[in-house]
Amino acid sequence: MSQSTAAKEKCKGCDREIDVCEFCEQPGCPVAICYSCVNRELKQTLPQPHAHGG
Amino acid sequence: MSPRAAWRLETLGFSNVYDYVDGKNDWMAAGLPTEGTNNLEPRAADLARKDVPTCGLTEKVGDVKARATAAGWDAAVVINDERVVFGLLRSKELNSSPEELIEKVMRPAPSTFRPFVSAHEMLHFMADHKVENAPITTSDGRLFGLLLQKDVIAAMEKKS
Repeated sequence: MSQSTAAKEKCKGCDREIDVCEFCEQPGCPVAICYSCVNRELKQTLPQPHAHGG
Repeated sequence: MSPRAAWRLETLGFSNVYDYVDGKNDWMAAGLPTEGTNNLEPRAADLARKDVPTCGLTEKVGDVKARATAAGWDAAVVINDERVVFGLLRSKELNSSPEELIEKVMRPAPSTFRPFVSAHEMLHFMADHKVENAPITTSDGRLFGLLLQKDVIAAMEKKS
């Protein structure tokens, strides 16, 4: 069974391990960030205003 | 808007009411106009360049580079017939072997950003990550334009 040898990075926002920075996709990014955190920080997702279906 | 709100508006006498099912975020992601105080800050849509060179997967690097250079660019976006973004070519990729196919050298599935994102916040990220440009797309992945860090800096300097 093959194993990934890619070095894991940690998201600066949530400390979760990620394969590569979601913003710049550069290996070894010193300010690596995950998909969820970059979307939240750039406000690309809006918090759901209603608990119900609208 | 909420479907219930749409129905209620109709009972109040409004006749031209639509329920935009995909929601406000999708509306803004298409680069459509908005109102309110948040609208005063420049967004990626205001500064993204729509004239960025584009190319297809099966073109040759040399042809695309020549076209981009002639237009004053050192970047190009790889799209399909529907303008959906497949890849990105920055100067490194454009300087690959001229005979190579674009699909072999492009940065596949690059991170893309929505038109409504604050230009100031994009600049913060672009500077931190040393990224010169970033593709701006609608929520269904279609190319809106390419946001250049230098354009955002110029806009911020002009504003201050």
